[in-house]
Amino acid sequence: MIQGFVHPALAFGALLALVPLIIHLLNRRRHKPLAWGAMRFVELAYKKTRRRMQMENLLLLLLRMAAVGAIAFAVARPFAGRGALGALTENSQDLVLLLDGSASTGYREDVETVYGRIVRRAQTLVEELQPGRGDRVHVLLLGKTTRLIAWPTPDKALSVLSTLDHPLDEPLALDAGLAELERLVEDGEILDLAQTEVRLLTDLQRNSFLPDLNSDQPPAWWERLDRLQAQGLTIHVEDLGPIGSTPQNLSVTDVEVLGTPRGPKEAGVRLFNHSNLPQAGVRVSLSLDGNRLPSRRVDLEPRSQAEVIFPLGDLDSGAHRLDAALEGDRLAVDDHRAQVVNIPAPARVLLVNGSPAERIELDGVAFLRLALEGGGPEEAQSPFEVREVNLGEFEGSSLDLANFDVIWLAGTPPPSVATATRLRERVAQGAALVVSAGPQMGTAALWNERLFDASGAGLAPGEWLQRVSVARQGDYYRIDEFAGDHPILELFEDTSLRPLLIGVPFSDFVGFAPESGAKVLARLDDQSRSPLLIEKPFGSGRVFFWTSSINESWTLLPQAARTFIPLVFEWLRYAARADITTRSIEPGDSIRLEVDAFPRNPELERPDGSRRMLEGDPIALGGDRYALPSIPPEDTRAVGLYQVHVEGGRSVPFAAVLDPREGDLARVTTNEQGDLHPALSLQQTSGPAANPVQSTQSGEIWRSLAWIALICLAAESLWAAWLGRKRSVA
Amino acid sequence: MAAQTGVIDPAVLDRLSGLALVARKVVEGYMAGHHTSPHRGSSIEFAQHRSYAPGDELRRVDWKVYARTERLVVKEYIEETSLSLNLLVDASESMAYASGPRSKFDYARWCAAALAHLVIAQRDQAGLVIFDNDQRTKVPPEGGAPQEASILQALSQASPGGPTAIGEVLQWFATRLRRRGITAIFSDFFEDPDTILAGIKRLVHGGHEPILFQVLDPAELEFPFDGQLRLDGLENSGVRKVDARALRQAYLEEIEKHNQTLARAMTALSVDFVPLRTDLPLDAVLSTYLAARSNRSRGGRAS
Repeated sequence: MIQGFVHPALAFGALLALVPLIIHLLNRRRHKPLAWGAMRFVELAYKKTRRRMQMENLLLLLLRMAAVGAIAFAVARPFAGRGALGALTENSQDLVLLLDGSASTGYREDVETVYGRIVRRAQTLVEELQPGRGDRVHVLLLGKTTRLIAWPTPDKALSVLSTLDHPLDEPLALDAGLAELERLVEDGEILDLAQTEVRLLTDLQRNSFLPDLNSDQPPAWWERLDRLQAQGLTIHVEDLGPIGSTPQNLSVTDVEVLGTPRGPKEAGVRLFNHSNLPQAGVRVSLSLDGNRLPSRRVDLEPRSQAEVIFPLGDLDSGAHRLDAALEGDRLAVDDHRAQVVNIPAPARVLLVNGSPAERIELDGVAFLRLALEGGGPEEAQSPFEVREVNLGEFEGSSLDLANFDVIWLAGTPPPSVATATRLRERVAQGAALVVSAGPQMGTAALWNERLFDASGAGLAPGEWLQRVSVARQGDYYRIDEFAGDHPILELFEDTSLRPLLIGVPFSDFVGFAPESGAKVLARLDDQSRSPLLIEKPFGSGRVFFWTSSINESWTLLPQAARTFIPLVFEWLRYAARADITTRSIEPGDSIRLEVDAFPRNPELERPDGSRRMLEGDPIALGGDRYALPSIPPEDTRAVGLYQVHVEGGRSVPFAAVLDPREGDLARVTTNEQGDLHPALSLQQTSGPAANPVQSTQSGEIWRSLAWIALICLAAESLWAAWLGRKRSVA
Repeated sequence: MAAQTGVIDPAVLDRLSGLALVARKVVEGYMAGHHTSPHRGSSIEFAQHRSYAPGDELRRVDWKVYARTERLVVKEYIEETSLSLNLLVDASESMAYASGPRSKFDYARWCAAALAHLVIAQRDQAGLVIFDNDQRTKVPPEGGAPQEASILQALSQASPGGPTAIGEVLQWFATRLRRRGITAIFSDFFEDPDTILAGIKRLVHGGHEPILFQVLDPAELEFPFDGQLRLDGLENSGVRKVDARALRQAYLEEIEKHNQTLARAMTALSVDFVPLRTDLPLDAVLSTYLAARSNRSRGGRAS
């Protein structure tokens, strides 16, 4: 039976077969009236000839319909399998070409890259096909994703192949290619895998073809290949890679900024020598925001990594562009690596003092403010901008919470209903709320009423319970357990520093029942192992509850400067998200950027300097924050630095970085060929005679249909002429 | 062509006003082609000589022949009779069909008028019956110019319409004819041949000599149509949609079969069956028939 069409849309042209029928029916409606006397003989003649005339006319009509239908059908170029129409098929060929378009194929050998060799070989294979016979070809370009770039005629394939001049800046994802192959089979575009020639033209990069020996589980593509093999698939792999099993190549594998947000910084540029030969005196350069720094030289051992440090000095807050480069080698794409780092602005901290006092040891936040404003590791430049307010100011409507990244309620009574609503909105937008207990905090019931919701929708990570005090003066509770893997407390995970945290004495705390969505970061050593520090995500922000005081009312923590200062620093840096971050994606990923002012006419500048307006409306995130329209994958295909220019505002850069494994050009060796999946049949030579494309049993039937149409037309003409002569006036 | 052959083209007749003029023209055309009439008039006329036989009246001996040849021969004479011609003209709706300028009914009444003129001019009697499925107009047989005028007037005033029932009309007519004579029937005879035959037999058994003039339009004989036709039957004979080309052959076979059946039946009864086409010259057709008939009455062979 018909299994598909080369031009499916044209198959509807077969409806043209109805045209003769419609003409016939229209003609039957147009009868010329004639008054007639000899009806007696008309009736006799009609009765005698009616059946014969109907048969003659029906045959004529069917011949016409068959001729038109066959022509229209032939134009759509149907193809059939071994069924009833099998005898009409031609022995056409179906070829699926999988082209490795990964970045590693940009390796240049002599004057030609591996990628150029792959494309040229693909052209040769396509040229061997015969379009007139109904041969079809699918060309799939494999990268991180797979592109079906040509289907189904050889002419189209050749036309598209001639435009492929650069490889993709992506790794080879065999799984994506095989998934596309499966889709083609499921959609019926590939009729029979067993009868289809599938060829993979590749550089046979080891990373892509051999499963990770350290992993117990086979890769996903391995299982997919199992399924396809069960359907009869064999992929003929043509190795068109460079000579040798380990081609020489140097890569920049990473660029990062070292240091803290407020202070001098350095850039670390990591290099990797992928070859089996040492590389001496490799020159490395780095540019910062377009300014080239003095280059460095480094020696690299075979198949080893080295890091080159470039001092950057103090950097303003905001995004900075870094671009590291090596001297060019045969694979150019990994000789540069761009990176965008974001130096955070000082976090804006609002301290709400629940118990102001003249004496510093009695004041609710005095120690905390001192710790945040100075006395830390970076005395000259605190990463925090601290503002202290009393309860009256905090509850007043003039205080805009949007101006603060962290709001700390230190021993305060529960906020009013209106303020609780404002807090909820601000935290949902991304701010952090810290609540610490204290003698002036009021009743637990009122706190719970204002901030807790049993459904988990409240700000509070749980319910306040009863205040707990030590039985005797001089006794203390201490920290029994803490989350050493959490950014706030990981500093104290170190054995030498751990006593600094677990030795802190607590005389009082408020019992707390955390809800299911909350995470307890530290517990006291009381009988109930009560929570001391609890975290809960809320909207885009975070909420922290400290069940003791942050001043000396219930604990001696503020006196332990070596514990107190690092703890609150790490705590608020984490809460305010005040870390140095990178802004990079893999090529072909989409990204949504945020800006601090309404973005007018955002325009994307690509690494090659080309520009495109971003379509879509920005999204207000609260305050002055806006999210730019998402940048789609097709705009981030190339590695390098991208910038979004905003009218009247600062540009927003980001980087697309190459998967560092792409620089490792080590290829599947002869000894390893046995480890390849059985469905991969490796071809050592790439001549056409080595593995001729086989004929398929299924094929197009347009030529047979054309003959049928011609026969129908001839028969119709003869039949019509005979009828005409028979019926004409003697 | 008409002037050269001496026949009158029907187109000429179309232009003549009044049946009297048409009849006269047709008869003049007929007479111009035959200088001696086969008819002898109403007087006693010589027929032939035969040898004298005992018992023959002496006054019939041709003495002039005896003087020349010394043989006794006697003269034989045709007995004097007065011819009575009844003209039956079918005026049913089917006779109104015309593919050309004249209908079958026009052609039939011209022919009838011509015969009436011819007969009355020979001082014989002629009568007229116009019918469809019943007698519509009747002019009893008489002689003389007034009779001819009455016949022509009746013919000119008639128009075709109504259904046909020739067989029944002939049966009815046969019972009412008192005087034996010739009955000329002008019709297309689009009826069951057996019905027609029954009526004709009734006339023959009554001692009458029927002559059937079948008047047909050339389109009815050739069916020269093409394409899709909606045939609206005259005489309420229904409607039929047909492919003309596909139907033609069978139609021609049917009408030919009908006409041959009629012709054979009439031959068997020794009744003249004269097919007339409305596109042929009327005087030529008539004169051909009359000449053949005269020849036959003189013992010649029918042509």
